[in-house]
Amino acid sequence: MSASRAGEARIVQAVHGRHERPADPAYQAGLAEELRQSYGRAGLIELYGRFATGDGVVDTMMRKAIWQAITRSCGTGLQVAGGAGFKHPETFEIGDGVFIGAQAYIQGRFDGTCVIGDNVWIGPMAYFDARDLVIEDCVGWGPGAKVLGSTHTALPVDVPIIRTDLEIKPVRIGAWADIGTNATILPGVTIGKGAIVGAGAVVVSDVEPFSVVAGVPAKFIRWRTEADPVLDISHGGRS
Amino acid sequence: MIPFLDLKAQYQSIKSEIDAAVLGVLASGQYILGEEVARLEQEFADYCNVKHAIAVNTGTSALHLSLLAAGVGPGDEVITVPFTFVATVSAICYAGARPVFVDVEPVTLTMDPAQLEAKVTPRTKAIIPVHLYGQMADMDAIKAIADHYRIPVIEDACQAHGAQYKGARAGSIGTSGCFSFYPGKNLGACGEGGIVVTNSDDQAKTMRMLRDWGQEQRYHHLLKGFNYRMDAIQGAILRIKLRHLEAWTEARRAHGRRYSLLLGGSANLRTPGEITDRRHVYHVYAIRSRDRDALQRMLSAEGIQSGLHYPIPAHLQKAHADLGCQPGDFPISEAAAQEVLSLPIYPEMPAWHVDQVAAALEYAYVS
Repeated sequence: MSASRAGEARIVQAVHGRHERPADPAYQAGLAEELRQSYGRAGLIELYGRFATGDGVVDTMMRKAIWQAITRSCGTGLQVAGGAGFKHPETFEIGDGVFIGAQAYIQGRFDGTCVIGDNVWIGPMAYFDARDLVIEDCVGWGPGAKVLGSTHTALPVDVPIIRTDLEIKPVRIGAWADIGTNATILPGVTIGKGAIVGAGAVVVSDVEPFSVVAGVPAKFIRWRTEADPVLDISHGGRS
Repeated sequence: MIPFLDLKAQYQSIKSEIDAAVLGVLASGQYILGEEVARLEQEFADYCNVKHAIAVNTGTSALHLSLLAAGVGPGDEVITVPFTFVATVSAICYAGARPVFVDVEPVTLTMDPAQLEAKVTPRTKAIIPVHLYGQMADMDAIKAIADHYRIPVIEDACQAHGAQYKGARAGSIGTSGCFSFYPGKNLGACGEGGIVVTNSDDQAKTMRMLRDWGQEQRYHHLLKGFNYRMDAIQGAILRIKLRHLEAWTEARRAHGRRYSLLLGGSANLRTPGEITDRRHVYHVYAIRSRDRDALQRMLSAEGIQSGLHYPIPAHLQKAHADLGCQPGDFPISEAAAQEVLSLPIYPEMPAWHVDQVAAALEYAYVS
């Protein structure tokens, strides 16, 4: 085996954003409603533990039904991969066609709001401090990328920091934005529509629509154009 | 669905006794005051360890008559707390006097004796501590100041039937004590009702006259009186219920203890402070939280009713704007008004309701 193809990229069609979402099966809404009525919030959380990790048909179906039952609102076509977790899902408003990757975790607060728009794709192991979070439609959220929505005031200084008040700030992710792998969005930040955040970036301030930012702290690199370097690749195959 | 209180449960538990008592009154043809009310007065006076009880139509009337019997009139000042139901303040206004507020202390939310003396003026003719939620105010400290200035103390015990302070029953320490029998109270009528207790023969005589048009003998009106009489049906019902009051109080206290046990460890909310030498009767079990409104919404979404006692302190009510108080005048009361949340509590409440309410509150702060 040679490593002669190293360095070459290839273009394939997107999956999540392109395929027609299959409609939920006819029983789905009824199942979710039945679970909501029968179990109540505490019961649903307990029930979720039984189906949280498996990749089989039943586990997948039940995860979806429980999310639909327990959230404030939830559209159709939801996919929840194994190990995805939540706190205070009763504060979540989830759109249609959302994908939540394996071991992603969304941590809400009982008096908070978490809105996830239509067709959002959330990669595995993403983390959301979702006390005041809006992710608009068609956002791509890279694996391991994180939102921090709050910080401790650290005052007064003579008490342990975890005992000090939490300052919660809104985080807003504009439609079509692309958040790179392991990027971190800090409290109070708004990512503009269509912006791209580079892998591993730590975003401390607002990002302009259709801009590209990267680095720690994240800095403006350029505007998005049709001539993005990612498209400027060799199609020559092996030399 | 977990109700804030369930009056029907109490009725069902003593239905045969209540029905017989009410039918007895209907058959007697004596519908106002009369034998049943007189017996209630004697039995309630005995319960409170006082000489006299004068049954009236509301707790507000009880307060009003107490003030009049204490000689309060136009131009006088009466010191009370702003963190109370508005009736305390309204009664002072009925008497033509001016309410003067002293803030509450933060643990019991009852009158802060440390701030009382500064409010006393030559015009102060009465002091009304409010035994809020069912726990008595610091009566020794309040009485010490009141006695020094020879000012009568009128206990607003409208939420404190059976409460104790160093062994003394609510209503028995002051010049007089006022109780409400509003249906949701620890001792509640099936309609309106109230009572004044006192050890003063003179005051009792005056209040008896005042509640019934100022007359001792029919159509001989010695005082400008009122129609504050209690219905016989309510008297009969209250006599039945008084026999159960101690058992009901112990049930409330058990619920209160359980709430405090389950919620006591939370960093995000405060359970009520019960002072060791006082017997709290938990008419209201009020927690405090900076997230009060959100917690109430969350409980409501869970099918759990809760209450606010009280969201606006009396000094900031529009009705009493003429007193000229401003936000910030009584910071402890104002903070409490923002933070208190009353949880379901009534004697017949199943213990698992307490557990469920506590679990719902605990869930709010899982992280």
